[in-house]
Amino acid sequence: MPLILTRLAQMLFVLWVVASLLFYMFRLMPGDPTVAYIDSTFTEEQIQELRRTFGLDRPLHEQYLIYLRNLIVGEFGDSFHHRRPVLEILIDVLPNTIILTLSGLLVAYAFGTVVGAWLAWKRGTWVEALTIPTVLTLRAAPEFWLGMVLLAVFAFKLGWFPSGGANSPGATFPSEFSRIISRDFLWHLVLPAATLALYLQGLPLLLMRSNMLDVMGEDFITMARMKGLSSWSIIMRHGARNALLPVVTAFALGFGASVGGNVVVETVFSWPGLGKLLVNSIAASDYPVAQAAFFLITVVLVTMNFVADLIYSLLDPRVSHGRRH
Amino acid sequence: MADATDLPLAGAPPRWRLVKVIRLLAVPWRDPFAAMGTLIYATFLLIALFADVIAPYDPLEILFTPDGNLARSAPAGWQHPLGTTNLGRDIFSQLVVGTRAALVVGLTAAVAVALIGTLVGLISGFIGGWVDALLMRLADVALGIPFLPFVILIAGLLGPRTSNVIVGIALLLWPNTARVIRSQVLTVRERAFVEAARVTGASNARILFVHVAPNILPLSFLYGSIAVGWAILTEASIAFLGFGPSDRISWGYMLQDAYASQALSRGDYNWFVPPGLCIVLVVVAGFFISRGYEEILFPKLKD
Amino acid sequence: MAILALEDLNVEYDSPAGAVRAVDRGTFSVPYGNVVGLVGESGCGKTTLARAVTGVMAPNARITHGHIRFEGRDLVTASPSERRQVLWREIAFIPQSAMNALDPVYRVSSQLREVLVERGGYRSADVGPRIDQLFRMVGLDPRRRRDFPHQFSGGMRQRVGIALALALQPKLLIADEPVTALDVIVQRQVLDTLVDLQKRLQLSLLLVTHDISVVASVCDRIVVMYAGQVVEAGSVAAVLERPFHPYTMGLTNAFPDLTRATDQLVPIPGSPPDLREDQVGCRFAARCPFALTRCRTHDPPLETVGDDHQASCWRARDAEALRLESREAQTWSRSSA
Repeated sequence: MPLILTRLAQMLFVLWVVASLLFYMFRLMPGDPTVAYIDSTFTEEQIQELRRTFGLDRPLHEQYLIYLRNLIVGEFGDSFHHRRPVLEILIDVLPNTIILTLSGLLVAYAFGTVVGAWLAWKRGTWVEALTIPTVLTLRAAPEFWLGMVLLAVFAFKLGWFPSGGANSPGATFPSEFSRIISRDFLWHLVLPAATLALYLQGLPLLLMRSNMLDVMGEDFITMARMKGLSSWSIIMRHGARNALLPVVTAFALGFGASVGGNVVVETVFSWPGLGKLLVNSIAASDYPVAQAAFFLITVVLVTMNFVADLIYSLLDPRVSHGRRH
Repeated sequence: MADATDLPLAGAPPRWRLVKVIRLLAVPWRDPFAAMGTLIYATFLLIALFADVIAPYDPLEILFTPDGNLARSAPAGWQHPLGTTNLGRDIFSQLVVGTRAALVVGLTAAVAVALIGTLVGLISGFIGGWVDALLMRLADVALGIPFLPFVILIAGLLGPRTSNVIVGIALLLWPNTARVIRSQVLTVRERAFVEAARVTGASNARILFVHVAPNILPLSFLYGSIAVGWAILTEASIAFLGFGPSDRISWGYMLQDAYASQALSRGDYNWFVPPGLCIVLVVVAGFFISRGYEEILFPKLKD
Repeated sequence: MAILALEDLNVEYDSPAGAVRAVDRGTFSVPYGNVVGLVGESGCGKTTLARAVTGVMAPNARITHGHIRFEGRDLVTASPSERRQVLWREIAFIPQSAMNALDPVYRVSSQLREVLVERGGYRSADVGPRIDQLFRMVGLDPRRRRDFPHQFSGGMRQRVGIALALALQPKLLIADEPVTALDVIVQRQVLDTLVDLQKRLQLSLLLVTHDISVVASVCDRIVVMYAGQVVEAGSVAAVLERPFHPYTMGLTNAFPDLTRATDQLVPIPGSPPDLREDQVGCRFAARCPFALTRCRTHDPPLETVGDDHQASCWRARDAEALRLESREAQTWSRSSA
């Protein structure tokens, strides 16, 4: 399918531009190209190693090509702050961000889709008149403020949930996997995920409602009624199935956007994820980490945009099965 | 969906067009929510303008009680309508003065987004060809960059100035506006009156600004009004993360201050709830106003 | 003798201007095994009437008076579950545009299966042969059953629509302009298929159309509607050869008859009345070249004017003379429209 190839090319183009932008911002602007990778606290040995890996003595265009190659293989240098390869640090925090984003989104979309469809059913009633402004108000609230309120009430005042972090301090786990599925982790996950869900549910809710209203007015719904099909068949099999498609696409897009937008929620809850890493590294001038974290977030965003297009073309038979007479 | 070109703006004599544009701006009154939104906006605008008069204290001034002690964490009362911070600063004054930062950033960024988006959309749609292709590639790139992280990067690397935040917002939010404007221009371009103007020898620039632009302006306003909300939320987030100007009081700054000073664990709701509520009010007002406009520009068929 | 009999049916819409009566005292019948053409221009209420028979109308439409007797049972007073029993199993509907009537995300076989299983008592595994049979009946290649609606051409989609309608072996088919949206050649083919099926399966067919040539070639009886009322009804031969209502006379004139050497098309000037306003007198009076004062003040009832022939006109007695006059072009330009 040529359209998919076009989108793929677009995706790679955007990534290339962003990579180049980062190259410019971190190497050319400060003037001294070594600032991006070498900190005064490194040993002479480390400095030589880094100079080699990134070709810091070479001419600029060679540096650029080396930089791009390193990017593709995941060579980001060493963190000034943590004294470890940046890639390791990224891999450590990535699961936290992905799980947080995924859980928040899943709850938000499950809730939003069901309530949105139900609201379409309740068109013209006071239920609708009351719910829509409420939903809009929630969307107008800053994510981090919602988190702060939840934190103040449920963690500090009621003590039901921990006040931050992804695991209790001092807790150890035999493997990364067991850490993620531990009760301790889930207990820490609740509030930040709830904050995300609260903030994000507005979009699928309004979208599903709008789609359902459009779909229920379509001729094939009238025909379904004429065939005497049950309400369940009509609303779910025909109505929701058609209305759901844009919501699924929105989910993919939402995932891409949230990974970057989570920054504030991760900060409020001290959640050790990619966003918090980005913020901390910029504040601490830990440039290798900052570059890498930003680039990784971009990769996720651009990839999910592409995935959204892919999903749409696969789910809509009009696109996936083409037209022929 | 009826489009904005159904508004009989172009082709009419100039003075008439101005009247219609003005009338368009006054349209939100018909929708109760849009009217409420406009009222909220107007209130905040007034507060921002007269902040110095309304705020009882200097927002950054550390205050003392009559008996010489630091007025720390005072609860809401007569002396301090919303109490004080843990360092003895009056919360209400901060809230009032913070209105300025919110509105300045919000409106400036929104205007920038609307301006850039409209210009790009106009040029892209009207000229077409490689210019169009180039601008749309640029839009793709802008849409592929994560929004908040980018603004953080800009503020972090270039310095925590308000102007940097506005620039960051404008650089990434224009594509949606541009795309919509562009598709509208493509539609209008084929319209009869444009052909007529061309035949009578009007230059491209003249056609663009005199005939095409008036049909586009309502859309620019719509997307501008949508952008205000996002700009305010972004500014608050940036300030909360500590990348905002430290000498300027904003609602985001207040929230960051509260958070860093353990106001959450102490339960100082009077400190961290009001700034958030103010943000909600201003942003939701923007939503209502833009929904009111949207109803006018793209009326859905009533059942 | 009649599978369907409408008596004095009123259908009203809610509108911002108040209730609009789209169908007024609709009365006609469909005998068993007949093809009845329901004819009229856009907005005359024929689609509203057709949908009222199925019981599935627009959200703001209501039956406010009258009876719809299907095999003797009154559908208007029947409970929703009773009506649902009849739907599709005994009365099926063929829409104007099958493109929009088919769910785009399901294969055609799935949509057929849905009807067969949910309403026809089939087991999901047993529907295969029946689907193949239906496809062949309407002239489609059964190998295309797993295709999606958008993969079919317009004509083929209409055939799918017919297949769906016939799935449960109904007794009465209501077809709302089933071929209007198609190319002329395809129109003929699909129509032939439909009529052929009607004969073979001994179905009764209510064919809603604005195209009088279709009615002339295919129908046994014709019902003419104007501004929400039935103005003439009877066997096709009687109504088209000897129309009694001036509107019917105008319609038959506007139709170019290839067998007669008519060199003029005589259209009816003017347009139908706005039903949002209260109607006084005969609704056709404003456009009628033969209108009397009585016509403008009193609405003529539907009366028998011949053997199995009804019309609503105060001047039915003068019909023969009026017919001759109506063939002249200048008769129509004289009307006060």
